[in-house]
Amino acid sequence: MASNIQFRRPGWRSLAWALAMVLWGALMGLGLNQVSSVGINMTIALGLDQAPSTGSGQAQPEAKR
Amino acid sequence: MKSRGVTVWFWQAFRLGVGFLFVLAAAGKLRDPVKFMGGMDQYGLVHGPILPLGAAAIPGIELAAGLCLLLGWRTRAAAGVISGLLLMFIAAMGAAMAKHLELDCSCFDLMGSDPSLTALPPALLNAALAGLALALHFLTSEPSTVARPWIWRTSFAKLLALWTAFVLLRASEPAAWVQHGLQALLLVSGLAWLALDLFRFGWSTLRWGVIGRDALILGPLFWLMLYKLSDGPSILGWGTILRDVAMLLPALWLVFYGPAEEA
Repeated sequence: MASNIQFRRPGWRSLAWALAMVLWGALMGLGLNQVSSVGINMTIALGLDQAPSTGSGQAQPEAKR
Repeated sequence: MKSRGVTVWFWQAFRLGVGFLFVLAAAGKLRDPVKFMGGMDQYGLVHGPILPLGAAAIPGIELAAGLCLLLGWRTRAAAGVISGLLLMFIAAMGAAMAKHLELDCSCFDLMGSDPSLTALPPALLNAALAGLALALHFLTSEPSTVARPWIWRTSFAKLLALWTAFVLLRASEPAAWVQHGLQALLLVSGLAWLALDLFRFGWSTLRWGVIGRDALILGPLFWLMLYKLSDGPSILGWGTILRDVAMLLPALWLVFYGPAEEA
Protein backbone atom coordinates (compact mmCIF):
# COMPACT_ATOMS: atom_id res chain seq x y z
CA MET A 1 0.00 0.00 0.00
CA ALA A 2 1.08 3.58 -0.45
CA SER A 3 3.83 4.66 1.88
CA ASN A 4 2.60 8.25 1.81
CA ILE A 5 -0.79 7.29 3.30
CA GLN A 6 0.14 7.17 6.94
CA PHE A 7 -0.92 8.90 10.11
CA ARG A 8 0.93 12.15 10.67
CA ARG A 9 0.06 14.15 13.77
CA PRO A 10 -0.50 17.80 12.84
CA GLY A 11 2.35 19.84 14.30
CA TRP A 12 2.23 23.10 16.22
CA ARG A 13 2.92 24.96 13.04
CA SER A 14 -0.25 23.65 11.38
CA LEU A 15 -2.21 24.53 14.52
CA ALA A 16 -0.75 28.03 14.57
CA TRP A 17 -1.66 28.53 10.92
CA ALA A 18 -5.20 27.26 11.57
CA LEU A 19 -5.57 29.70 14.49
CA ALA A 20 -4.21 32.54 12.38
CA MET A 21 -6.69 31.65 9.64
CA VAL A 22 -9.60 31.77 12.12
CA LEU A 23 -8.49 35.12 13.56
CA TRP A 24 -7.83 36.62 10.14
CA GLY A 25 -11.17 35.36 8.80
CA ALA A 26 -13.09 36.65 11.83
CA LEU A 27 -11.48 40.08 11.56
CA MET A 28 -12.12 40.13 7.82
CA GLY A 29 -15.79 39.20 8.40
CA LEU A 30 -16.21 41.92 11.00
CA GLY A 31 -14.43 44.43 8.78
CA LEU A 32 -16.52 43.58 5.71
CA ASN A 33 -19.65 44.07 7.80
CA GLN A 34 -18.54 47.50 8.87
CA VAL A 35 -17.82 48.74 5.36
CA SER A 36 -20.89 47.13 3.78
CA SER A 37 -24.17 49.01 3.60
CA VAL A 38 -26.13 45.77 4.14
CA GLY A 39 -23.84 44.57 6.93
CA ILE A 40 -24.83 44.06 10.54
CA ASN A 41 -24.68 47.35 12.37
CA MET A 42 -22.58 46.30 15.34
CA THR A 43 -23.32 49.48 17.26
CA ILE A 44 -27.03 48.66 17.25
CA ALA A 45 -26.69 44.85 17.40
CA LEU A 46 -24.46 45.00 20.48
CA GLY A 47 -26.68 47.64 22.10
CA LEU A 48 -23.88 50.18 22.22
CA ASP A 49 -26.21 52.90 20.97
CA GLN A 50 -28.27 52.57 24.13
CA ALA A 51 -25.42 53.43 26.47
CA PRO A 52 -26.29 56.54 28.43
CA SER A 53 -24.39 59.56 27.23
CA THR A 54 -22.66 61.90 29.61
CA GLY A 55 -24.07 65.27 30.37
CA SER A 56 -27.59 64.53 29.12
CA GLY A 57 -29.08 64.84 32.56
CA GLN A 58 -29.59 61.07 32.95
CA ALA A 59 -27.81 59.53 35.90
CA GLN A 60 -24.84 57.32 35.12
CA PRO A 61 -25.00 53.74 36.49
CA GLU A 62 -21.79 54.43 38.42
CA ALA A 63 -23.17 57.68 39.79
CA LYS A 64 -26.06 55.85 41.45
CA ARG A 65 -23.80 54.20 44.00
CA MET B 1 3.79 5.09 -8.04
CA LYS B 2 0.15 4.71 -8.92
CA SER B 3 -1.22 4.76 -5.36
CA ARG B 4 0.61 8.02 -4.82
CA GLY B 5 -1.21 9.42 -7.84
CA VAL B 6 -4.53 8.39 -6.29
CA THR B 7 -3.70 10.29 -3.08
CA VAL B 8 -2.86 13.39 -5.07
CA TRP B 9 -6.10 13.01 -7.04
CA PHE B 10 -8.06 12.73 -3.84
CA TRP B 11 -6.34 15.72 -2.35
CA GLN B 12 -6.85 17.94 -5.38
CA ALA B 13 -10.51 16.95 -5.81
CA PHE B 14 -11.25 17.68 -2.16
CA ARG B 15 -9.26 20.90 -2.20
CA LEU B 16 -11.05 22.37 -5.21
CA GLY B 17 -14.53 20.97 -4.46
CA VAL B 18 -14.83 21.87 -0.78
CA GLY B 19 -12.85 25.10 -1.25
CA PHE B 20 -15.30 26.25 -3.90
CA LEU B 21 -18.28 25.19 -1.78
CA PHE B 22 -17.03 27.16 1.23
CA VAL B 23 -16.32 30.27 -0.82
CA LEU B 24 -19.83 29.95 -2.27
CA ALA B 25 -21.35 29.57 1.20
CA ALA B 26 -19.37 32.55 2.52
CA ALA B 27 -20.37 34.72 -0.46
CA GLY B 28 -24.05 34.00 0.17
CA LYS B 29 -23.75 34.92 3.84
CA LEU B 30 -21.72 38.05 3.19
CA ARG B 31 -24.31 39.17 0.66
CA ASP B 32 -26.90 39.44 3.40
CA PRO B 33 -25.32 39.07 6.85
CA VAL B 34 -28.45 40.31 8.61
CA LYS B 35 -30.45 37.44 7.11
CA PHE B 36 -27.75 34.98 8.19
CA MET B 37 -27.91 36.45 11.71
CA GLY B 38 -31.67 35.82 11.67
CA GLY B 39 -31.02 32.26 10.54
CA MET B 40 -28.51 31.72 13.35
CA ASP B 41 -30.99 33.15 15.84
CA GLN B 42 -33.59 30.58 14.76
CA TYR B 43 -31.33 27.79 16.00
CA GLY B 44 -31.71 29.33 19.47
CA LEU B 45 -28.21 28.30 20.53
CA VAL B 46 -26.43 31.65 20.75
CA HIS B 47 -27.74 34.80 22.36
CA GLY B 48 -26.55 38.26 23.27
CA PRO B 49 -23.46 39.87 21.78
CA ILE B 50 -22.10 36.53 20.45
CA LEU B 51 -24.91 36.36 17.86
CA PRO B 52 -23.94 39.40 15.72
CA LEU B 53 -20.23 38.79 16.24
CA GLY B 54 -20.60 35.14 15.20
CA ALA B 55 -22.77 36.02 12.20
CA ALA B 56 -20.07 38.45 11.05
CA ALA B 57 -17.11 36.20 11.82
CA ILE B 58 -18.31 32.81 10.50
CA PRO B 59 -18.57 33.86 6.81
CA GLY B 60 -15.14 35.48 7.09
CA ILE B 61 -13.60 32.30 8.49
CA GLU B 62 -15.36 30.24 5.79
CA LEU B 63 -14.01 32.59 3.12
CA ALA B 64 -10.46 32.51 4.53
CA ALA B 65 -10.34 28.69 4.79
CA GLY B 66 -12.12 28.20 1.44
CA LEU B 67 -9.74 30.57 -0.36
CA CYS B 68 -6.70 28.88 1.20
CA LEU B 69 -8.00 25.51 -0.05
CA LEU B 70 -8.73 26.87 -3.53
CA LEU B 71 -5.33 28.56 -3.78
CA GLY B 72 -3.54 25.55 -2.31
CA TRP B 73 -1.86 27.59 0.40
CA ARG B 74 -1.60 26.13 3.95
CA THR B 75 -4.14 23.53 2.89
CA ARG B 76 -3.68 21.17 5.81
CA ALA B 77 -4.41 23.95 8.31
CA ALA B 78 -7.39 25.04 6.17
CA ALA B 79 -8.74 21.47 6.21
CA GLY B 80 -8.46 21.62 10.02
CA VAL B 81 -10.39 24.90 10.20
CA ILE B 82 -13.07 23.48 7.89
CA SER B 83 -13.30 20.34 10.03
CA GLY B 84 -13.90 22.53 13.07
CA LEU B 85 -16.58 24.57 11.30
CA LEU B 86 -18.31 21.43 10.01
CA LEU B 87 -18.26 19.84 13.48
CA MET B 88 -19.87 23.01 14.86
CA PHE B 89 -22.51 23.04 12.09
CA ILE B 90 -23.30 19.34 12.56
CA ALA B 91 -23.66 19.85 16.33
CA ALA B 92 -25.91 22.90 15.83
CA MET B 93 -28.09 21.12 13.27
CA GLY B 94 -28.26 18.01 15.43
CA ALA B 95 -29.35 20.08 18.44
CA ALA B 96 -32.01 21.87 16.35
CA MET B 97 -33.30 18.57 15.01
CA ALA B 98 -33.43 17.13 18.51
CA LYS B 99 -35.69 20.07 19.41
CA HIS B 100 -37.84 19.29 16.32
CA LEU B 101 -37.29 22.76 14.89
CA GLU B 102 -38.35 23.18 11.28
CA LEU B 103 -36.13 25.85 9.79
CA ASP B 104 -34.00 26.78 6.81
CA CYS B 105 -30.50 25.51 7.53
CA SER B 106 -28.96 28.89 6.52
CA CYS B 107 -26.07 27.02 4.95
CA PHE B 108 -25.79 28.94 1.69
CA ASP B 109 -28.40 31.72 1.45
CA LEU B 110 -27.24 32.59 -2.03
CA MET B 111 -29.84 34.59 -3.93
CA GLY B 112 -32.50 33.85 -1.38
CA SER B 113 -32.13 30.09 -1.37
CA ASP B 114 -29.58 27.32 -1.55
CA PRO B 115 -27.78 27.03 -4.88
CA SER B 116 -29.89 24.22 -6.23
CA LEU B 117 -28.06 22.22 -8.85
CA THR B 118 -31.29 21.87 -10.76
CA ALA B 119 -30.63 25.43 -11.90
CA LEU B 120 -27.67 24.08 -13.90
CA PRO B 121 -28.29 23.12 -17.52
CA PRO B 122 -29.08 19.38 -17.68
CA ALA B 123 -26.16 18.85 -20.10
CA LEU B 124 -23.72 20.30 -17.58
CA LEU B 125 -25.16 18.18 -14.80
CA ASN B 126 -24.93 15.08 -16.98
CA ALA B 127 -21.33 15.91 -17.86
CA ALA B 128 -20.54 16.34 -14.16
CA LEU B 129 -22.15 12.99 -13.36
CA ALA B 130 -20.32 11.31 -16.23
CA GLY B 131 -17.06 12.82 -14.98
CA LEU B 132 -17.72 11.51 -11.49
CA ALA B 133 -18.56 8.08 -12.89
CA LEU B 134 -15.33 8.02 -14.91
CA ALA B 135 -13.33 9.15 -11.89
CA LEU B 136 -15.04 6.41 -9.88
CA HIS B 137 -14.11 3.85 -12.49
CA PHE B 138 -10.44 4.79 -12.72
CA LEU B 139 -10.03 5.20 -8.98
CA THR B 140 -11.47 1.75 -8.34
CA SER B 141 -9.34 0.08 -11.03
CA GLU B 142 -6.26 0.28 -8.86
CA PRO B 143 -3.94 -2.69 -9.14
CA SER B 144 -4.45 -5.24 -6.40
CA THR B 145 -3.68 -8.86 -5.71
CA VAL B 146 -7.03 -9.91 -7.14
CA ALA B 147 -7.25 -11.09 -10.75
CA ARG B 148 -8.04 -8.31 -13.19
CA PRO B 149 -11.43 -9.46 -14.59
CA TRP B 150 -12.76 -9.50 -11.06
CA ILE B 151 -11.84 -5.84 -10.58
CA TRP B 152 -13.62 -4.91 -13.79
CA ARG B 153 -16.74 -6.75 -12.65
CA THR B 154 -16.87 -5.06 -9.24
CA SER B 155 -16.18 -1.64 -10.70
CA PHE B 156 -18.90 -2.18 -13.24
CA ALA B 157 -21.36 -3.30 -10.57
CA LYS B 158 -20.66 -0.23 -8.47
CA LEU B 159 -21.01 2.02 -11.45
CA LEU B 160 -24.25 0.42 -12.55
CA ALA B 161 -25.86 0.61 -9.10
CA LEU B 162 -25.03 4.30 -8.66
CA TRP B 163 -25.86 5.20 -12.23
CA THR B 164 -29.26 3.48 -12.08
CA ALA B 165 -30.10 5.33 -8.89
CA PHE B 166 -29.21 8.62 -10.51
CA VAL B 167 -31.06 8.06 -13.74
CA LEU B 168 -34.16 7.14 -11.74
CA LEU B 169 -33.80 10.18 -9.53
CA ARG B 170 -33.26 12.56 -12.39
CA ALA B 171 -36.00 11.13 -14.57
CA SER B 172 -38.82 11.50 -12.11
CA GLU B 173 -40.38 13.62 -9.46
CA PRO B 174 -40.75 10.67 -7.16
CA ALA B 175 -43.05 10.27 -4.20
CA ALA B 176 -41.51 10.48 -0.74
CA TRP B 177 -41.32 6.72 -0.26
CA VAL B 178 -39.56 6.33 -3.65
CA GLN B 179 -37.07 9.07 -2.72
CA HIS B 180 -36.30 7.39 0.57
CA GLY B 181 -36.08 4.02 -1.13
CA LEU B 182 -33.57 5.36 -3.66
CA GLN B 183 -31.56 7.08 -0.96
CA ALA B 184 -31.44 3.76 0.87
CA LEU B 185 -30.40 2.00 -2.35
CA LEU B 186 -27.58 4.46 -2.85
CA LEU B 187 -26.48 4.08 0.77
CA VAL B 188 -26.60 0.27 0.53
CA SER B 189 -24.71 0.27 -2.76
CA GLY B 190 -22.10 2.57 -1.21
CA LEU B 191 -21.71 0.26 1.77
CA ALA B 192 -21.57 -2.76 -0.53
CA TRP B 193 -18.87 -0.95 -2.46
CA LEU B 194 -16.91 -0.45 0.74
CA ALA B 195 -17.40 -4.11 1.61
CA LEU B 196 -16.17 -5.17 -1.85
CA ASP B 197 -13.06 -3.04 -1.40
CA LEU B 198 -12.52 -4.59 2.02
CA PHE B 199 -12.91 -8.04 0.52
CA ARG B 200 -10.66 -7.14 -2.38
CA PHE B 201 -7.88 -5.54 -0.36
CA GLY B 202 -8.36 -7.69 2.75
CA TRP B 203 -8.66 -6.58 6.38
CA SER B 204 -4.92 -6.70 6.93
CA THR B 205 -4.27 -4.16 4.17
CA LEU B 206 -7.20 -1.89 5.06
CA ARG B 207 -6.15 1.70 4.97
CA TRP B 208 -8.18 4.77 5.83
CA GLY B 209 -7.13 6.01 2.44
CA VAL B 210 -9.41 3.45 0.78
CA ILE B 211 -12.38 4.54 2.90
CA GLY B 212 -11.48 8.19 2.43
CA ARG B 213 -11.33 7.75 -1.33
CA ASP B 214 -14.74 6.12 -1.31
CA ALA B 215 -16.09 8.95 0.86
CA LEU B 216 -14.72 11.42 -1.66
CA ILE B 217 -16.71 9.84 -4.45
CA LEU B 218 -19.82 9.10 -2.39
CA GLY B 219 -19.83 12.55 -0.79
CA PRO B 220 -20.38 14.57 -3.99
CA LEU B 221 -22.81 11.96 -5.28
CA PHE B 222 -24.91 12.24 -2.13
CA TRP B 223 -24.59 15.98 -2.31
CA LEU B 224 -25.80 16.11 -5.92
CA MET B 225 -28.67 13.80 -5.11
CA LEU B 226 -29.81 15.73 -2.05
CA TYR B 227 -29.78 19.02 -3.90
CA LYS B 228 -31.72 17.51 -6.75
CA LEU B 229 -34.34 16.55 -4.21
CA SER B 230 -34.47 19.86 -2.38
CA ASP B 231 -35.41 22.81 -4.53
CA GLY B 232 -35.42 26.18 -2.83
CA PRO B 233 -34.31 26.74 0.76
CA SER B 234 -32.63 23.75 2.28
CA ILE B 235 -34.81 22.67 5.17
CA LEU B 236 -32.76 21.43 8.08
CA GLY B 237 -32.78 17.65 8.20
CA TRP B 238 -30.80 14.46 7.96
CA GLY B 239 -29.84 15.44 4.40
CA THR B 240 -28.06 18.63 5.49
CA ILE B 241 -26.31 16.77 8.31
CA LEU B 242 -25.31 13.94 5.97
CA ARG B 243 -23.91 16.45 3.47
CA ASP B 244 -21.73 18.02 6.16
CA VAL B 245 -20.57 14.62 7.40
CA ALA B 246 -19.67 13.73 3.79
CA MET B 247 -17.38 16.79 3.73
CA LEU B 248 -16.08 16.31 7.28
CA LEU B 249 -14.72 12.80 6.70
CA PRO B 250 -12.33 13.69 3.84
CA ALA B 251 -11.37 16.92 5.65
CA LEU B 252 -10.33 14.97 8.75
CA TRP B 253 -8.62 12.37 6.59
CA LEU B 254 -6.54 15.10 4.99
CA VAL B 255 -5.64 16.68 8.33
CA PHE B 256 -4.23 13.39 9.60
CA TYR B 257 -3.33 11.45 6.46
CA GLY B 258 -2.74 14.15 3.85
CA PRO B 259 0.34 14.12 1.64
CA ALA B 260 3.45 15.31 3.46
CA GLU B 261 4.15 18.03 0.91
CA GLU B 262 0.82 19.73 1.75
CA ALA B 263 1.88 20.78 5.26
